[in-house]
Amino acid sequence: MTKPKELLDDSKGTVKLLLANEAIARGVVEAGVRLVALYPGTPSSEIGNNLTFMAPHIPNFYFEFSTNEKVALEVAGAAAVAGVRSMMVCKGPGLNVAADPFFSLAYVGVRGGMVIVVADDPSMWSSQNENDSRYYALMGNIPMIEPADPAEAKSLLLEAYTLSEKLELPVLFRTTTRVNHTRAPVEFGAIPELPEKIEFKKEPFRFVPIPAVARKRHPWLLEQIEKAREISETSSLNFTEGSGNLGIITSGVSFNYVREALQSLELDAEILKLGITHPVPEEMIKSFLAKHKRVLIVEELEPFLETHARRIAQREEISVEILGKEQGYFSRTFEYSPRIVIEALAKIINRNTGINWDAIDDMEKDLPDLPPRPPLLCAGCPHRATYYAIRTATRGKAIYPSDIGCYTLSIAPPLETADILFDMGSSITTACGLSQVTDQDIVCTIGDSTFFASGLPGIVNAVYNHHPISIVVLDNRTTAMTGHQPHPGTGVTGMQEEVKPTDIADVCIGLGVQYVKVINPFNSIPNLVKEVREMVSWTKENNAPAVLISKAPCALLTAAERRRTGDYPAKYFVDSDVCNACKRCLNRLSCPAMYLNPDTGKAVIDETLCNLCGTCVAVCPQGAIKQEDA
Amino acid sequence: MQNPFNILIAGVGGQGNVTSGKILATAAQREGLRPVIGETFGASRRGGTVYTHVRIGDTDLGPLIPVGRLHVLLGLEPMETLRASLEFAGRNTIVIMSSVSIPPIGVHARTDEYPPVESIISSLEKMCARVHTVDSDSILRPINAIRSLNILLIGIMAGLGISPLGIESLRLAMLDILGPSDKNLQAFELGLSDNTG
Repeated sequence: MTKPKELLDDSKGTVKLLLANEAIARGVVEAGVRLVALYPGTPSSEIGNNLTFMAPHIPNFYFEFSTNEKVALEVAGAAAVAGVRSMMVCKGPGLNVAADPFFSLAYVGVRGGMVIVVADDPSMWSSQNENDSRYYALMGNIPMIEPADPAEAKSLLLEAYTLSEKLELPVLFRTTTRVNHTRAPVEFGAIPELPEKIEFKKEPFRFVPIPAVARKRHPWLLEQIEKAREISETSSLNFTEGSGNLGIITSGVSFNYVREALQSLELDAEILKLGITHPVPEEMIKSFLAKHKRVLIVEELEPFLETHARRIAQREEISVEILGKEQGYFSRTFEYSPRIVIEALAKIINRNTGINWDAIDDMEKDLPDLPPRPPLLCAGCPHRATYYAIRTATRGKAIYPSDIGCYTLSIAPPLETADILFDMGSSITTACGLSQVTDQDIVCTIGDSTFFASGLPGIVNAVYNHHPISIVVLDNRTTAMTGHQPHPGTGVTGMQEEVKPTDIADVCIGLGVQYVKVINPFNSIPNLVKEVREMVSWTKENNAPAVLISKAPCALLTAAERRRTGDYPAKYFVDSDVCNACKRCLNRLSCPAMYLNPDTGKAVIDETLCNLCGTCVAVCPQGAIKQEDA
Repeated sequence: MQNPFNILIAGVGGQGNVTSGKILATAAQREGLRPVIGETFGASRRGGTVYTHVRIGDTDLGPLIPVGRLHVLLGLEPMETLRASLEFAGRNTIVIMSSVSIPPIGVHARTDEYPPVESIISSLEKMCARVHTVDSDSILRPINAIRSLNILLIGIMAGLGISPLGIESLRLAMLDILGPSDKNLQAFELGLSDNTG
């Protein structure tokens, strides 16, 4: 929304309305970060979406969309080891992908400041799990900072770099969806100049953690985290606010809910707000616990701070009632809201909430359930055509391992072509496992960006271990789900340079796949159905994997291109004289551009929504869907 | 003014929901107030339910409006307005809603039924302080500005004088965010003078 170039405004003191993700992108510039590497993942996507368009205008700055999060962390980690400031960004599950280098990086440490931004997603708005990344800080002995709002997203990022350089350790900068997607005024600071190329100074007995080295580095790491604890004790990022008998320990967005709840209940309490959540300030928490008879812990997801508080109280023999998830005051699932915090507080102090929520809840009871409005594949989406063909060719009877992207939406009726999914790249590997324990046909689907991110090892596995699986690569020429970032198949880099794209068919052939075909799903649906059938038979006959690349740009890219050129194909319409109201088009495609005329019972194409793909033409058994003469 | 003053924009992806939030927040800054916007959407694709929370006050606020503390609900689509109302509205909520419905896919496949718009309005009336409905198509189609629905509703809110955001602040904020557009300006003016609801 805020234009990437606006984030490069050099006038210190300017105030702009920024999303926390935009504030982080601005923070990168103000902190003098030299290199950022990431693989896009919502809720962190807007950080890269802005940096990629800012990057060409920042002298000596390098930005890349890496092929996956592990690669990104290694690219950024090396830059920080060399001695410049760097950053890696990912969503919660992305840090799982990058876990291997994460732990090693803590052992060897960094010479330049390094921040790893991880965006957790309580409520799973756009993720496959809501695992709590804070435990990575604990397990890896990496310091962690958590901002509560867009202003802190920038100011605490600058602090994170200072801390990182003081300790020679990367710092985990953990956000949640509700912080990433909050927009508020943020004041700009000065932009420093960036260093040109530096010289890498060798120090192998620090940076190559062979066992003999690692055995020395682990005690060093524990010393560093002890130093971090001392910094945490006196840091202004950990502070108390207000006063009262009740104590509340909180961090991140929950801090705002706590403030609002206290105001709403006209309740006095002392809040301990933690900006550094690893290592926690032990002494500060100790005296806070000693000062209050009852202390409430407010944090989303797991009882992370709560466990620390209970640990410290036990060790210091402090008699205090610690209230949190363990007694059921708060849930370990889903994001919080002002209401959740107000209700928990009201329960604890045995008071009315001040708002009659029961009466509000009761209103819903008198109403019929409202139909849901789930997200759908867009009108004109090439995945719809491909999945329709896969389903038709296999009569819905094959197993359909799926992967991570827009196309996972094919789980819903009527396409119903998603049966199993673990993580990025698992379509191919789960297909491998299934092929050895069942005789059913297996057609798995993987997007182009996911193919490059983590599909390749699965392909090699399927070739070498000769798994009879059909792999359809849904190549829509972009990383669509997270907002159209480029990937190695697109020919554009994070620096917005044009380069030679990596061809998916060539890659598959190079990896030893014997059956590789490329097809445009919009050319002919009957032919696409035939191709899927042939591929499935081939895998059985040859006891080997086959790849069909279904290649057509994302409908949103096609629509943008047509708006740019003004070049539109002829419109499609339903000939109501021929339509016999069988509703096959509505029932088999669930295209957002088709609706039912309640008066005639026949389908209609909404020409303002139609993206002119023509898939519906092949679906109508009557031949009632036609294209106007061009 | 109620402090904080809470406005929720409810609609379907692609209706200009997030843009509306930015306009309201920019207008609040023009009034010397401190806005916070919470953007909420399901899996980040088009066509699903979208809410934007706009909170205007004089201190830092969290991004979500507490249930029952909603002051103005701008409804870009009737069923989504009712859904949002069930989640956030209270006795003091004033609703400004387009009566033009966008049925979800389940309705076309005849597995779901879209509730009659009249029943949506009467449910809203039971829940909220006031419901201002506008047949937005009949107003915007003649000026060929169907996509300016969000601006029409902001115009109506400005005309009713029910928020701390003045007409001039809103007009300038709209120009800031969307650039000069005759259609948007017209839609805003038509909203200001709308008294059909």
